[in-house]
Amino acid sequence: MKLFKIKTILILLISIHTFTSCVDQEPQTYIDEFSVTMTMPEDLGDSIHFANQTVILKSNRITYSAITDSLGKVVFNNIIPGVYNISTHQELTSEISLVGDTLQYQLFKKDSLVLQINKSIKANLIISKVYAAGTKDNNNKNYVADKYLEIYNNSDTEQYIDNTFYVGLVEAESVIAYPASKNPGFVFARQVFRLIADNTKDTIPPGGSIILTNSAIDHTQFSPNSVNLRIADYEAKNTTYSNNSDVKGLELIYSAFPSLIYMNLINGGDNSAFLFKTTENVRSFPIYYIPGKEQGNRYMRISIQYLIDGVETLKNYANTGPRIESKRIQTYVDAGYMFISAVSGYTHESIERRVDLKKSTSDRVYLMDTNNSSNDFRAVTDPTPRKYDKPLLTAK
Amino acid sequence: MSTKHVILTALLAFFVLLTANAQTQKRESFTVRITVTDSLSKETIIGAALQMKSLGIYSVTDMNGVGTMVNVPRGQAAVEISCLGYESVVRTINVTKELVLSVRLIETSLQLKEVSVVAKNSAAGAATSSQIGRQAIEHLQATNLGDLMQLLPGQLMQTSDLTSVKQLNFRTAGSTNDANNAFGASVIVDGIPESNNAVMSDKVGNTTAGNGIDLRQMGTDNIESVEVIRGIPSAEYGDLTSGAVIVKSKSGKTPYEVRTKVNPTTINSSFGKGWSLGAKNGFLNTSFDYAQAWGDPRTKTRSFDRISGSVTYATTFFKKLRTKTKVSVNSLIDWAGQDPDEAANGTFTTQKDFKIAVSHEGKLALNLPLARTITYTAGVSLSDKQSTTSTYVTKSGIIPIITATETGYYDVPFQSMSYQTSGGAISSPKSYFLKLSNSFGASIKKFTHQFNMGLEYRYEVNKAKGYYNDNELLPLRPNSDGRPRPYYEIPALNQLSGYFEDNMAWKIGKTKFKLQAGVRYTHLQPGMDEQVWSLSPRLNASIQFTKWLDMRLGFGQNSKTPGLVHLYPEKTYADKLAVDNSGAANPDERMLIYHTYVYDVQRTSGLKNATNTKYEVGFDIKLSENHKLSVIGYWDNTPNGFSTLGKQFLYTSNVYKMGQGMINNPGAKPTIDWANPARVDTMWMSTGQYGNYNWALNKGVEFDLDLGRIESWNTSFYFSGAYMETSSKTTLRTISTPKIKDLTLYPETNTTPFKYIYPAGRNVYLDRRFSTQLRGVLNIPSLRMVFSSSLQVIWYTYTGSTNRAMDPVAYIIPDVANNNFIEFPITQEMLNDPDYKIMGILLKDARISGNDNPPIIQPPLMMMSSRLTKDISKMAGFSFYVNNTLFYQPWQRSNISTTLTEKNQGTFNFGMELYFKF
Repeated sequence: MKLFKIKTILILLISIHTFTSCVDQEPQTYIDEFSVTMTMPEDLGDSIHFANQTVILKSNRITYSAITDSLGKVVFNNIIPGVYNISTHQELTSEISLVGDTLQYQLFKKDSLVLQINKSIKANLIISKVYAAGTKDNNNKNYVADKYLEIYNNSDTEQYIDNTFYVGLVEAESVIAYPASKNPGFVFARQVFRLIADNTKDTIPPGGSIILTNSAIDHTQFSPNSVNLRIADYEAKNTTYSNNSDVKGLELIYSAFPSLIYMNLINGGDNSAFLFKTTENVRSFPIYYIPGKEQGNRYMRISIQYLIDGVETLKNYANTGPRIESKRIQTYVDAGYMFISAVSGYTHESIERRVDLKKSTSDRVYLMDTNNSSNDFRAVTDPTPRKYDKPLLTAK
Repeated sequence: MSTKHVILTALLAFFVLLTANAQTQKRESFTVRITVTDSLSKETIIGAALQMKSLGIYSVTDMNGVGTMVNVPRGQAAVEISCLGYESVVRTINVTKELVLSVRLIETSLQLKEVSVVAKNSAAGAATSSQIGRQAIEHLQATNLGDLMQLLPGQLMQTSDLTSVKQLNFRTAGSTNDANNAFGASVIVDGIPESNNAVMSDKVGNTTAGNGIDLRQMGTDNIESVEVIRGIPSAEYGDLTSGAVIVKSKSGKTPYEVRTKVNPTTINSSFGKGWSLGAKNGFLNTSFDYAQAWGDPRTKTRSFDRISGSVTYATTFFKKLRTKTKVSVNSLIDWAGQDPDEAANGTFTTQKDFKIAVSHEGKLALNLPLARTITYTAGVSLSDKQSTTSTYVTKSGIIPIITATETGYYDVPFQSMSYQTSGGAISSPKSYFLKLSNSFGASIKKFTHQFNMGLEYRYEVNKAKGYYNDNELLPLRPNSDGRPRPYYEIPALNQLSGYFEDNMAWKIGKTKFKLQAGVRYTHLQPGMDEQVWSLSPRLNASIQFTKWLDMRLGFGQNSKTPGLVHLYPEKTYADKLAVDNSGAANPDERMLIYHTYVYDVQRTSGLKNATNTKYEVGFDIKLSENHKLSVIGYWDNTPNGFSTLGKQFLYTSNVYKMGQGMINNPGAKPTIDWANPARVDTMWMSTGQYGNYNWALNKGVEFDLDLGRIESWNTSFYFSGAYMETSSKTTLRTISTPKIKDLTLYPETNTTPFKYIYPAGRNVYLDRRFSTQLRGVLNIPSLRMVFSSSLQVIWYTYTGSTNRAMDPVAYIIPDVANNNFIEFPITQEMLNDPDYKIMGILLKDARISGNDNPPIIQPPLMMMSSRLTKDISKMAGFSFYVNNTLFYQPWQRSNISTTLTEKNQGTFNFGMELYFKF
């Protein structure tokens, strides 16, 4: 009997060994070399090169970085094949930066790339928070009244908001209607709000911010995780949410959905938003049906020349992740994109700008503004209005 | 002629016929006596029914097994002899003298060569129908009446799911329930129509108001036979449009019968017994049925329980009056809630539906020439429906608690987040039914006539608590549709109808003609404002050119009266925010005022019966003794099905804002200066009344080919199928709010000063389907076994809808002073001008260019199902079935889809039944 048991164990062990021996242990194939050469903007001349700057190769699984040589060229060695977002940026002056990027680059063999570097003007006012996910109330049911946008003065001077400032939310059809790739020079909005309707103006001090919401009340009484938005500066007046008569109203300029007169921040996304300034009559801007259709939703077309800042926030799909092809904001406004982890929201996640640790001091917070939200933003939970102290935002 | 006169005249005519004597008809007549015996035991059979349908003669065998038919006129006549548990027999006899005959009935059994496990088509010259017998019901292992419908030509195989309402649609190609078609499907059980007319929209759980009878309430183990009339029904059947299902319960001597059906989602057990109480005392039948079903055994979030029982007593008085009295109870419980594995939060919905029904039917063989058989039916059905729910109410934003039931401005409480609450509905539909009918036959020259006539009265009422909230401050539906609605003041429905029908037959040379010609008059709510009546002519004709070819022709109109839900809609509540200070920092200053406007429609006058017109043409070919082909083309149009009326009403509503009619009161609620609002909005809303604007057309061709039995294989083959097309549209002009680009023009929502009107009926929904079923039935009598296999192929499925180019034909503006609307036409010149504006809004933006959606066409799809029934002994047997036997779930894509979809999902299903008879 004992002998039988030993035999059985031996047979089992031999079998396991045989099968495990069959496992393919062929070593991972690497790409020997991938070179990226930077081409500078024409107006900077040939003598300036994109030297000694960090270029980042980032896929879902791995990130590589390398420093450009004196001629603005960088070579990566032993790269795992995959699809990469490639980005770089350089602070040229306090107001101008150089950025270069390409998304979803398919790198499966030895390859080289010429990357166009663009000049990017740094904005004084930047969108710093997009909180659209909503949360759960005291009964653990969805709570969506506490959504808000925050706009931050990242400059060293006071900024004035008058009736020429507008906030737009970008078209968010499930089948993208106006991709950036097909609409250079424009962005199409599902909603546009003017910050100040009359001839008054508000001042935002350096490092200060303004908060735009649908309901400027204390939401913590209904949802323990939520936020107190009594400190909000502007409210989209509406009949769906409790409004605070002490808070100024946002003026609705256009809504693709006539019954939606409050900010249509979608729990899961897409919630790409932009800030623009113009003295033109925005109400007269053209509106268009989705290409190929002559009825249904219509979107307002806004020339990109008016944009001060934009952030591409995309929906995270369950199996595929965000659809990069859904980028609707030109790469020279936002070269990247950001998304929350939840597919449908209600997780109290917010997309917020990181702190620029190089510039910030103990007295003053500067936020990252490389015009690449993949770099500048992070998704954090439990947002706090006007605060930028989450570890994810202050990490190096 | 007034309605009263019509009714009185009809009554008078009926009783004249009833009491007429034979003086005027002194034709030679004889007595026919038929002794009915069991073929094996040779014992006489008591209570067997004998019918000469063409002459309206009816009789029942007495204690000696003898049925006597008196005053049978000279000539040929067909006698049908039937008895529960035996194969029916039709004998043609030549009556030239007094006759004494004997007939042996064969007990229905799997030992017989002929088994009927498929539906049988009706003979030409009568309504197109399918007869489904007891063997077919047992072989199918049906758990409810709805399961049987898959035996009809063109109907698809179904997987039985008792946890959702099952309704009947006739000849529709669409995949979803057509409420008007289902509402117009009549289900008649033992002569009493099941009625949904008094069912209200209870707002909690499932409702069948304005929709079809829930077929789950009827188990099948106590059913003797089912006739499904999908063609033009006899004038005897009314208050229907699409068709009728005639259910006959078991009545007569039967053994103790215990059955249990089990499949992964359902358990259904039943018990039944029919006692003979002695030669003079008739028969007593009892039945009991219990079914329990779970939607999905993995996630127990839905369940259904059915307990039903009945006692039927049938007896004969004075050899002339055959009566059948039945008392039945039925209890259904639908439950939906959380899976036991979920963290309990107290949410559920339960619907309990208890019904007790008493029916009594009598057949009196008067045997007078103009009153051969008098039949009377009386039925009472009392239901108690109780729905209760506990749920969380969630909403984006604040939830105002508006409970006002009178027009005015109300300072309302509000919730700023979800809340848990409960409530329900209590409904008590009651139905009373009376019917008196007469049938007799006559031969006039070469014509034989069989006349049927009758009067019907229905009284249907629903006085109950209706919809309610357990806590009015936490309503289940915190919106305008959520006010409690007691049913106590809703009037009852009174329906009177009468019919007359002649079934003629004659012969010219070798050509035989049959004509069923009838007319039915229906009058609902006589004498009331909302009264509605209709006259429905019906014709079914057949011509037999030779013994092997019959032509069928049919034309008929049917009418379905509106139900309580259509005639007496709920008040319409329009709630609009008037004052909003809900977000004030100081809780004491918070205030929310809503303006409630109540439109009390009281009743829908001017509503017509939904009227359906059917045409049928077809032929029956007898290819040989065992091979028959029946083809029927049908055209079935209901142009005025029930729909919304689209009528609007006007009201004004004030809005007050801080500093504009709202005065700040630090530390207290603002004061409202009612006379000085910030704005006065003119609002318009739909009245909630019903109209007749639903148009539906079903047309197609059905065929049924009996391929006969291949003796060497012990197998019979049947091939049936149908090409069906269903189109529907609304014939109501669409009222549409203009699209405005410039939001400053009319900044508040729903306050544009005009609306466009678009033409009616431009967009059509269209479904087409061609499907066939090949059934093979293997019957080995020596093994007492039947095995059948069905191969269903859906060759073609088309789903399309049009989206036509449309221009508005008019625009309407409110005339507040007269509480009316003024309509202005929109001309072609206006449309041609790209800059034409109506009240500042560009007209060109209202032009719809149209862009038909491409139709979706599915590739052919096959499915097979198999069934086995086997008697283990005389006392026991079992059945087994597997749907989608081959587990064929192909990945297919439609003509427009780029992705593959798995088809036949959820159709693989199996189950078995055990039965004992002793």
